[in-house]
Amino acid sequence: MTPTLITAFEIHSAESAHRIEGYIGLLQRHAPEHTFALGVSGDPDVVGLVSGSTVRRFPAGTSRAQMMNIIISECEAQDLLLCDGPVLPIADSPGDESPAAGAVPDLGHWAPLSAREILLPPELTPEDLEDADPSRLVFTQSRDEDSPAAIRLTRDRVMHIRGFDERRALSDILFADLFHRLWRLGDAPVRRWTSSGSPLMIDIGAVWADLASPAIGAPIAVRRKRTERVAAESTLYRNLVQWSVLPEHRPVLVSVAIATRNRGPYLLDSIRSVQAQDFQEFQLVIVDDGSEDNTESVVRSVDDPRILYIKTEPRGISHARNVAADASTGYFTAVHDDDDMMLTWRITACLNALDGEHRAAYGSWINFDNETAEMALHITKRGFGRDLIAYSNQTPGHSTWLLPTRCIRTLRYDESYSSSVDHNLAVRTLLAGLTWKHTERVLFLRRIHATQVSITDSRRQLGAAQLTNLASSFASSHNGRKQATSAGKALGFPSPADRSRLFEDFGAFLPDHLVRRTAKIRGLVGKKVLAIEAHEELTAVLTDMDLLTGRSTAELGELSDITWADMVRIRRSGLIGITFDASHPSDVTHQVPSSADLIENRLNVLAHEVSGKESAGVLLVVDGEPSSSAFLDEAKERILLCHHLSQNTEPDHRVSKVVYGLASTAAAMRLLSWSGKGKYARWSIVQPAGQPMEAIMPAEGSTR
Amino acid sequence: MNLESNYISTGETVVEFSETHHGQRIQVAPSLIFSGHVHQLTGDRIAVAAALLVASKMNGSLKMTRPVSLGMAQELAAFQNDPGFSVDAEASLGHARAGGNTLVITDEPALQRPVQSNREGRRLWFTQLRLDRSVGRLFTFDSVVACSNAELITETRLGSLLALPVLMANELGVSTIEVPSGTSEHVGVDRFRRAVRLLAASQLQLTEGQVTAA
Repeated sequence: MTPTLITAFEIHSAESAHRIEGYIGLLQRHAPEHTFALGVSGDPDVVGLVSGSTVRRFPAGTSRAQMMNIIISECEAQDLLLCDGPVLPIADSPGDESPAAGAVPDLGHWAPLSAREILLPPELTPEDLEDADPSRLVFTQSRDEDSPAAIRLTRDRVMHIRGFDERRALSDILFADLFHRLWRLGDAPVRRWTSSGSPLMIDIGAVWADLASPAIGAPIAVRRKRTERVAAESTLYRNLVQWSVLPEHRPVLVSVAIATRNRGPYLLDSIRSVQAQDFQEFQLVIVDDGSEDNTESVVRSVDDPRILYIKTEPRGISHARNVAADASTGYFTAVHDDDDMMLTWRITACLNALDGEHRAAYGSWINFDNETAEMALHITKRGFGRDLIAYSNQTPGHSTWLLPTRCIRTLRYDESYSSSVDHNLAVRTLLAGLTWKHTERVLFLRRIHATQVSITDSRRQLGAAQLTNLASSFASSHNGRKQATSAGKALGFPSPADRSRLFEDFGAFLPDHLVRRTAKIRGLVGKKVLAIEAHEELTAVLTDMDLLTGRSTAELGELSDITWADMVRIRRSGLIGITFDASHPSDVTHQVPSSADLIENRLNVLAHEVSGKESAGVLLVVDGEPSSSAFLDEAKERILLCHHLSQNTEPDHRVSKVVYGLASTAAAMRLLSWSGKGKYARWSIVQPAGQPMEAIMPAEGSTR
Repeated sequence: MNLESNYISTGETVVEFSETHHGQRIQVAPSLIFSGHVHQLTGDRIAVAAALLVASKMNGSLKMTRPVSLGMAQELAAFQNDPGFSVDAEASLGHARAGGNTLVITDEPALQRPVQSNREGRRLWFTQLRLDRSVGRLFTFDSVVACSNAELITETRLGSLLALPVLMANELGVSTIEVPSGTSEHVGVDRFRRAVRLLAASQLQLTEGQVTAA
């Protein structure tokens, strides 16, 4: 069986389109046994020149990574050969030689393949290549060895690792990045496919430079820098928040597991906090351990095909958790509790923590009082392991875990325990060899209320925990125990969140009854509000016009009275970059949408911009409409920037300000004087945050 | 693959399986953790245990901090069915056959065993428990109970069965390991023969118990 060959090109000219046709011809002649799938992006009149049923045409601006990912996701074949540019498999291409059965049970085999580049003889032109026999041409081997010309692997494996990284900044290291991430997964490549000798693949990019991968032809210094960039990014999974692949083609990477019993009143909050995650390719498994309240109707009221609800006879939390693990389809399990609130970055932070050495992740959390919203930060130490157990008996907070589902299925929650089961399993994962890494982030909000397991069952929990801790240190000598304790003590804490700002930083993710929430939208406010059907909630819109260029540079919208249901709706719409702010429901100063907030935010951005141009730079902010263009023409030499901020606030209020960026406070005063300050009602001078404000002429103006 | 063994302060021995790729350490399989600080570990025996547990992840080479004998390096290549397989380690001359005890692998950790004849080699009954459920080890003069996570890091029956006995053989004066009857049939005769050859290269004989009449 031969693999399906996939490659993609961004083209800009008819000549390139012609070359791709030539490449297809070469493939058909020299590798007829392969099935091909080629992606081409560019202007319609250019990509339209490339014919053939094996070609998928994409709009201009679609990157190679995006094209490859989409084609891979829609490919029915499992055995793929991903090629970096115009690569041609000829003699000795990999056949159906597979590694030993069971070698890589989940994701299949993989291997990077090297290629040789054609060195075109002087008597031939690039066009002649279409008629030449590539196997008779002269080769060089200057291709970057860290960036394979092709990677053969299963569709499952590349989809699992979420394809090529779609960030533009990585477009020149696409294959090197994928190659390194495949390594970090821990499965060695099939060595027999990578052995050198006669060329397995040839790369004609050296001759057809317009189609060539950036991986070829670069000087050594450039290659070295690329390698450093690839190594610096040690994560495994990419495109976690945005991915070109259609949702229905994305594999479920994470199962969120909730075990519940008679927590109907809290469960809906908990579910919504999962639905609003930045990362959306999850399955939510809710195992109901024989609830007698409205738990089932609460779950059924949520219309989301990703939810799997299983009701069992009441057999305890451990049994429910094991049922969840057995029913999970995600490679990883993110543990969640029925009364807690996930922070929206909870899953992405955990996936981003995984690297070549760590296969599980955890983090910190915040306790909140379900009646008063009082919050308390709980930070756990880095380096969860046997030493930490010896020192403090501390295991990661259960609702912060992300670990391979297979690990839970194998080890199981101990059903003979009624509490402290998570502590027990965490220690046993260490004994099984699982390696954990701290995300260095706060991951969830833990609701403190009267019916928590840890309160109702505290004595049994203590006894169970004692036995578990004993398991970790039972075999150690006196000195060994001292050593482990000492090593555990030396482990550090991650940088803590600012304890004085817990409500400001995390309050927006409290349950609705404890917070009043606003959302800020950046850019294309009208379209986005339309997309999320939030006209009713839109209370303020600010536009920022650069008066020097005549272009609109920013648009900010503020939505008020946002609920968790709204946050789910916003995430489902696919919009990202919307931020949420919190205020206390009882705080009357925040009852009315704060129009000053948007302007203040924008002024901060402009103040940083001006201080980037001049270290002593300031903003002169004048209330009113922009001056005449004649004034601006004259003032151009003196100012660093000039913007018009206009904000419309419901029900019918408008604020207009003109902002000048100047090299110093003195320059601002000179401009004010020169322009005739008397015609403005109010003005102020703004300096970048962190610098003291200067009070100037308070009788006539104001300072901020 | 890099192989490294360490004693840890919580009372176990650990064998780590890793690769170094562009300066980054990559864990290719969970570490083998087993109870006790097992002494007299040799490069040959560690290599055998690793091959039994994670052969598919060796990627054509083995790099070890302990010396490995030439015979073992050759046998590893044969076991992997890979003539290009390379072992990067200081050469050793192998080691002399240890005491003549036989380690009899059994699932039943009974402490009372039949009185043994002094005319035959000593037999030690060996039971392995899962480290995530039990810790420590127990020695009597005819029984050993030890714990490891071998079963959790490999899907090969022979690997989980033999890795720990191979590593403890020197310490226990064992030169023969006897697996329960029917093992070769269970794992496949060819696979079993390959394991016999691999253990033989480290001076260990692998035999299969006799079916006893009901």
